[in-house]
Amino acid sequence: MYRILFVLITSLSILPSVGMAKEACASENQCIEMNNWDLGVAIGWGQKSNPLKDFDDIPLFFIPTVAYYGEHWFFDNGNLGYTLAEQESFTFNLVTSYSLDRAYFYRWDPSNIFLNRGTQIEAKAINNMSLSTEPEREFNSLETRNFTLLGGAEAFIYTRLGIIRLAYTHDMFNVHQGSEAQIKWTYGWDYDRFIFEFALVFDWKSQAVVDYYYGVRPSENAYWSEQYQAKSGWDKGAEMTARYILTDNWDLLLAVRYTLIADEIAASPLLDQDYSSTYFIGAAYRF
Amino acid sequence: MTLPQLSLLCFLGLSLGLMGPSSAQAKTRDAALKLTPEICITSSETEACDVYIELQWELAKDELICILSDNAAYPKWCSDSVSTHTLSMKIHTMTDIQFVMVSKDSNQTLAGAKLKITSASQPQVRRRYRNPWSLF
Repeated sequence: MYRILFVLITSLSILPSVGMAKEACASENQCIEMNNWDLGVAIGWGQKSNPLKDFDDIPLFFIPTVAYYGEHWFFDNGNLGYTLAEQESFTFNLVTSYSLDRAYFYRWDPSNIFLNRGTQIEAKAINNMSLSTEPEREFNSLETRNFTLLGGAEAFIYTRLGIIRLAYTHDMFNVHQGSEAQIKWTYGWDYDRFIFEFALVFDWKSQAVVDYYYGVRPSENAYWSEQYQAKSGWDKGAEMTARYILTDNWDLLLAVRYTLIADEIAASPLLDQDYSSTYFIGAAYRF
Repeated sequence: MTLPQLSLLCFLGLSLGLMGPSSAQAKTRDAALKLTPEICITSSETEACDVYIELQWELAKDELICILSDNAAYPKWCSDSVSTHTLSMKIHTMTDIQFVMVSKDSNQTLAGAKLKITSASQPQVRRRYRNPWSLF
């Protein structure tokens, strides 16, 4: 059950550091001071749309940031990692992460920290007339979707045209026994006091992940439990973050993200949207 | 404009000429200026660097040269003999010093070298792998 976690920890304790380059920090915005906590909070207004049927959108008032980087270990907003290789042109890390899918179901999922209200409401019967012969998409109380940590590896490739992230992680706690992968391209640039970052993201979720979060359990609806068969799929998204530096501690912040949910997931009767969009505008303070 | 200011202006002009990648490559192909040491490490950011340095140069042809710096405390020095190929001096500075070697006759820039001042107490940094505001 904890085989992957064991392998991960064992690897960390026996593997030597491979090529740790000290000079590998290109610009101040991409750097962090080692052996020092980096804490900050952004205060403002934003919203994450919830693709789940009969679930509220998720308001955003606060976004915290917590990071600590040692010589090899790092903790960055919930992700724990260990750097095996750090070179000018690439980085290779062992890393943990968590799925963003659970955040649609639960307020206190790590992705939804500091939200002012829950996202789940009682399933409501919909009384509108339907010409379809299919039964209404009405569900009893949804069963628990447990939190889990994923563990795996990630690589960053640094090019003149941006940073490419390749990652593969697997469920470490036998919750759904699924895997996730990511291909992400990030391009950042500065102009005067503005800092921009743009990213294209492709997230792959295995059939086990899709089934665990978006599959319908028999107790929730026997008909749809039979009808919907989960398959693996790729979410596709774009992100943009813009910051304007006011002082050494204060930034103005605008962040937007749009995710087009994989067809295989959007086909789930639990969803009534095939996308999720997020925006946040506010002021960010770094301690 | 005072004489030191004029000298500094001339030096900056020469430095800019040296910084251009194409011209720097062309001009340093035959002449080289070597600085030892190139880095001076101080124990704190407020502490000045005191160090003896040596400048050594090679030239494509025997000629007299001058060495300039962007620090007013180290004025222009010119060689009196073509057989001279080194210059030693004691440096006291809190900032980097750029040295430029020019031809004494033509004033053409030949090569450059930089003394970097760094503090041991400067915080170590490394790459951050995630956008600080990407949590949501």
